Amino acid sequence: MTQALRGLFALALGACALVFAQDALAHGVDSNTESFLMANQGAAIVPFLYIGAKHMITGYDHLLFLVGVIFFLYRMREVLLYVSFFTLGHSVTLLLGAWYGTNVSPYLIDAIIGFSIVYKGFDNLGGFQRLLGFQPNTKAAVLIFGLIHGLGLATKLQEFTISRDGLLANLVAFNVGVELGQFSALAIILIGIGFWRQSPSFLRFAFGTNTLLMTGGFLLLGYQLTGYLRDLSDAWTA
Amino acid sequence: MDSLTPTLPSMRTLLLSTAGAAGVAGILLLTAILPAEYGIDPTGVGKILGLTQLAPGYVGPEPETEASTQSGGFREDVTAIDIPAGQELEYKLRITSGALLDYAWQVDQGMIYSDLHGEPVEGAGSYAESFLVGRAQSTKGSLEAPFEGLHGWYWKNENAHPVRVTLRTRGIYTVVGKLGS
Repeated sequence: MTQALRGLFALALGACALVFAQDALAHGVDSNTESFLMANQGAAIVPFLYIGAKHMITGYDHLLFLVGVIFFLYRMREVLLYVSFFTLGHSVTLLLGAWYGTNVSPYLIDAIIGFSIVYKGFDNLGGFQRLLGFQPNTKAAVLIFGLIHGLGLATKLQEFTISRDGLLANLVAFNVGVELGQFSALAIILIGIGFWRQSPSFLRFAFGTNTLLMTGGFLLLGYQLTGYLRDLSDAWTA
Repeated sequence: MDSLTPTLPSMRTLLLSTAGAAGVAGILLLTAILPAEYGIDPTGVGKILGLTQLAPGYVGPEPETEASTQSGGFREDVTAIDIPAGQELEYKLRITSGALLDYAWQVDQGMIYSDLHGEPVEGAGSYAESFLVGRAQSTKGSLEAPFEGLHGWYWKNENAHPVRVTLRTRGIYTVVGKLGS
């Protein structure tokens, strides 16, 4: 039994490495996808499904946040509950945002997404309980940050002039693709964390892991905020 | 948190780890990420590590015509053109119809994608004809311009390192030079 599980784990890790090696740096939409999106007219369900799934699987900011969310969730029921809150949040803003056309700086959105990772890492450290003496509602936080993540997805999709012809079908396809991508990524993360939890090193390194998570969040925050400020200063000098 | 969580850290540990996370992120941002992504290099470390040339919009040193001899419209040039890693640029000459151009170019390190093409003066920007396309370390040949227009090379440096293209040209033309892409 354990042998089989070990094999499965190795397989999952391999698949994970493959996915990330292919597109580790190209978070967002690559140039091939971009030219497709620009040229597309009318409904194209499967391509949008694919783009959505690919965006999620290669979107390390969304994935880091998810790792933070499920880090201390031991029961499958809870995992499903929290992931549903996240999904609800990002689907609402993705659909509404892309349909009505949001006009928020992608840098700003991505900076808040970076902040959401810092928040979740700090939360996992027990930071809020120590600092404030109480635990802010974790479900509400996941829902609210889900809304922000969805806005990020919507702005990404909007960077390309998407034809209004067949927009709704394409949006829904993109959204379903995002969920498929999230589901696959989550399965891999859960298998990995599940194994790690059986070893005593999990609790020993939990603190360090969440500190690392915060570091990643701070990196994204600083990176995106600098981009935002640079755009602002460009607008001033122009 | 509904599930079991480890005991709360002390305030000191909490603050130390948060400050550590922010500190490590800050150092990485200042020395690597901002120089490589935006060309913002407050510490100068990015330039030393060669990261600033990764930044989009980074333009290498201007191509300098190293040698140029002219006599009666006929000229000969040797030009060095730097192309940062992953970047592309065009270098153009203006040639009249039927004029002959001898050329040779060479990359200092690795191969480069090259497209020798011409755009007629009339209807500029709407039509381009490619004469020679491919990847190479060096090429030489001659071109008889089929029409009056901007003739020259599109180069894409697909390497992870910057390259210098040394271009030798001989014929009757005027140099338009590097075009932004």
